[in-house]
Amino acid sequence: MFKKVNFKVPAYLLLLMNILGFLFMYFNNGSDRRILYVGGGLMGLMVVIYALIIILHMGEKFLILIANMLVTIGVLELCRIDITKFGMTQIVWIALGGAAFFAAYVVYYNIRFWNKLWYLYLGGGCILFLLTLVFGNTVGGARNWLSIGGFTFQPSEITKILYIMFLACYFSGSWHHDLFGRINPKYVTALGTYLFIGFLVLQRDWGTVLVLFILYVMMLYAYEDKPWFMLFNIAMTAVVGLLGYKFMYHIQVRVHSWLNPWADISNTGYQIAQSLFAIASGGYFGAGLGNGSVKYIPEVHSDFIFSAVCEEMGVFGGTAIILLYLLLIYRCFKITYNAKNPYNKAVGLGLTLILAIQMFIIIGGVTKFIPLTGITLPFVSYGGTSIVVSFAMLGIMQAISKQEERAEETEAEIESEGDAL
Amino acid sequence: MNINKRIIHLLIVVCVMFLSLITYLLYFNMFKSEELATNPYNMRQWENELDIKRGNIYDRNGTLLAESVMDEQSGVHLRRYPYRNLYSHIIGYTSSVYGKTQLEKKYDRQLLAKDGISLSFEPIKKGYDLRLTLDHNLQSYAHDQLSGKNGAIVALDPNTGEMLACVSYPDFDPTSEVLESEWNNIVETESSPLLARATQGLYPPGSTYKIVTAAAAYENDLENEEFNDTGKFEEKGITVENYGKQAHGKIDLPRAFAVSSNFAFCTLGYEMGPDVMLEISERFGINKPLTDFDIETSTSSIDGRSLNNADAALIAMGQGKLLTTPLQMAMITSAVANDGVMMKPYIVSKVTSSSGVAVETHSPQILYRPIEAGCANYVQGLMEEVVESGSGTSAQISGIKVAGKTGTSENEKEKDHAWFVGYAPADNPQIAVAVILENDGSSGGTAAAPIARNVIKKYLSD
Amino acid sequence: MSISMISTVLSYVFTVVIYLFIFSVIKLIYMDIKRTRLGDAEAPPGVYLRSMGKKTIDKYHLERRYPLLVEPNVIGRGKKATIRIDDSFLSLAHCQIWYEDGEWRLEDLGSKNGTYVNDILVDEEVLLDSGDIISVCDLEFQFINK
Repeated sequence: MFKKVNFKVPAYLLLLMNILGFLFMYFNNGSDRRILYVGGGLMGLMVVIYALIIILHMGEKFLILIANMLVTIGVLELCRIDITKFGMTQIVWIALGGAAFFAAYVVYYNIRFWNKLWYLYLGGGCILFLLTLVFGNTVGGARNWLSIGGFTFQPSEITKILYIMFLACYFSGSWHHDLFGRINPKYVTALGTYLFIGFLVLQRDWGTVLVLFILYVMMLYAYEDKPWFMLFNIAMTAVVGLLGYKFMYHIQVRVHSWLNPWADISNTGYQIAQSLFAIASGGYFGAGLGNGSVKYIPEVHSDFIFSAVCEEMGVFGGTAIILLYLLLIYRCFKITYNAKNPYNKAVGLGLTLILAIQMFIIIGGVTKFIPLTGITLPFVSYGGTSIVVSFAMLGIMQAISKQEERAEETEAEIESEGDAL
Repeated sequence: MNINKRIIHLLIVVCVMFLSLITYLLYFNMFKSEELATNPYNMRQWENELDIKRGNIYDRNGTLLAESVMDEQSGVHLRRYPYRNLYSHIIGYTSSVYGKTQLEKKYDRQLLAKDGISLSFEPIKKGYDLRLTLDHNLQSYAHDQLSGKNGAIVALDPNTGEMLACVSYPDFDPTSEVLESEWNNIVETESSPLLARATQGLYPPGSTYKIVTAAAAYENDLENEEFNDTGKFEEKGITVENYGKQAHGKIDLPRAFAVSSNFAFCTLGYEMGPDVMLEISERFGINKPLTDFDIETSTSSIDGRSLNNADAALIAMGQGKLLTTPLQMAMITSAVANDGVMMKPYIVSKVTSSSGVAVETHSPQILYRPIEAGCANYVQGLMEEVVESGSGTSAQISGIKVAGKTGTSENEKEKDHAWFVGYAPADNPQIAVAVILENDGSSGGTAAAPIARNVIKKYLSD
Repeated sequence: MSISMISTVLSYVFTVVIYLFIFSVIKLIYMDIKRTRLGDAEAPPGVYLRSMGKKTIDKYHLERRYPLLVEPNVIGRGKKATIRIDDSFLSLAHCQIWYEDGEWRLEDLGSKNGTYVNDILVDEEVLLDSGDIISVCDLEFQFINK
């Protein structure tokens, strides 16, 4: 009955998926060698990451397995969209992501005073935002790209982690001294939240605004004993949102193109209409990898990659992605649930929720379930910062699971030694 | 522990969010995707046509009406219509800019063989062909008969509902290159060439609708009523004069029908009242959309809210709140000719694969049974009399007995519409025709009846 | 066969493989939950075998802890063993531990290489105390009963 849980089956299926996928792409694209390089590179990376987890006894194995499956689907689709531009560079990003995973694991695992550094997170976030506002480039209407020495990245992705660490300081209960002897940290976190959100509004990064706000409300739900503060926040946001709708053209356009994308199909409704056309053309099983017409979908490599997967792998393929996320998030919830250290628990909850919210907002957006706000689909979309930061988040999650496992064992050993004596 | 409990709540919320996404995705695929996949803005459906040659369309005798040819220069299939304008309102057009209409829209899947399963491993290269019920000779003859006047002609086989000819004028060239360059011109022309008058134009049917009133009178045992026609019907604020302000004096119902006495029919309508008129009209298909017909149609209608007897009097002579399509009048005429059985009209008789295998066949279906055979026979007698000695004598053909009814319908601003509906041969009907000349100014008997006669004669002599 | 047909068929295969993956993960998670459940419900909490010796743990891929059930827990190499360890010196059913009349008991099941408790060979049923060291071949476990 206590058979060892056998991780071989899903790991082999993952490899099988890779081998089938890349060989098929290879033959379907007139024996383009580069596809084999991408496939080989990806499999190599996945084997190395998985082997390191086992050799170094890093505990939890589900997280990386599921994330790798999502990455595989993403890379297959990206190779099909444009092998040189996205397929090959994505491998580099995944390698960096893997490095970020282990770096985040090691750093988070070995430092135990994360819960005392709230000013660092807040300050770091603000500096990143200010840098973006001053030196940033505008891409797709949002001024949220920063380039340093030819290397471009999205600081708002990094601020997500900083924001979670910042929130966790307060919610874990390790920060209870009033600021300047009079301001309750509860209000400092609220102010910090709205500061971050304010910066994001200035950058017109509506997607991240929504993600951070929902995250904040959910964290309040989990930790605040009295609901009034959470309700007050929701009410305030509703008022601000309505005012924004009334006076800000950008928000109006988004709502209108959600309610009726067909009214202005060649202009504001274009993106969502093309996305829906793609999903509708896929049917249940899709046109087959490489057979769809994903070239009509705008931003197909990042925000709209889900529509491309739906067109080529069908609604069942799309559902599979959602289910994979559900499993990933379920595992994260379980780690959070079992965590004893309050700071670990708060960080774990924050990371879990942010993954869930991002995935819901972007998939809901491209399928017209909710208004569209552009963010990337973690692990699947092409996007340097997104991939690296998502893997780093997973690394922190892994560190939390290992720390808790370790704590439990030491506790048990101390007890048993006491018994034995 | 309290926090763990709330974490479970959040887990449930997240699960609900994700499962609702999945449900929505499945719902979307089940109910919305069909519509979106064929949306004219969806560029994908044009891609299919690069690989698949759209099927041909033929008339009932095999005359080619539409085909796709490969343009060597651009490497794409171009849609060609050998008779250009003649079928613009039946076959419609297929344009990557303006979408698809009529048969090209309704039969898009078949023309591209989208549901086809390739029996060999060769992918399907050519779509299915359509075989129509239309007779090209009759269609082009009818088109010439209109001789450039705005109007429409519909010819049906009363026994089967097959559409034999269907002409609307003005028309346009549906070839996509012409359509795209002329689009603004076509749309801005005042006579609206895009309107398929025969199936979508709504007109007051005028005296041709007395066919329905006569059937109602027969059913209500009023066929022996006699009228003292003063030439002017006045009741409750309405005043209706006979055509040409003629007073016919003392007449019975058959005579009143033959000379098309407005006085007599307004009296009948007024006596029977709105409920009777509305009920029998609906039996003939008024106010009922013609569902899954091969092309789009407008629904002939009576605005049935708060009708009074004066309204009924106007409806009885085909005016007032009644509007019909020429197709609807042809169907009513067919129903009378076919002893009270209205057949469902159709245009496409067969869909065949490029190897000649029939994929779909359409056979005659009964649509409604508006009246009993006895009633139909009575009205048939009235209609024969119209052509023999009444207002429709110009529809006579030597050696063939024709039955019909003339109409001259008034409209508020412009000149009268001239109508004629009829069928022949009277004792064994083969063809039923409805002709309307829009704002012609002359009477149905002088302007429309000769056209109907020629069309009938052409069909029966071929 | 045309390329498009092969790719259509293969795209079904991809989807099937992804779903197989999902189901295998769900199965593992389910087993994981079932195990913690079992531990909670049937095994008295805090009664387990602790694997000892880092080298042997790595060599035989041992769990750090094996929770014990009230009904007999068989240690062995065979398929029916509750605690299954792939050590060729182990017998198919080597020994068993169970709970009866308020005491935890161990007996050897006629193994080839014998079972030792605190370095004494077990030839008949023995009672276990917390902290006892159970040795089978080159494996060592500590019996913990909190």
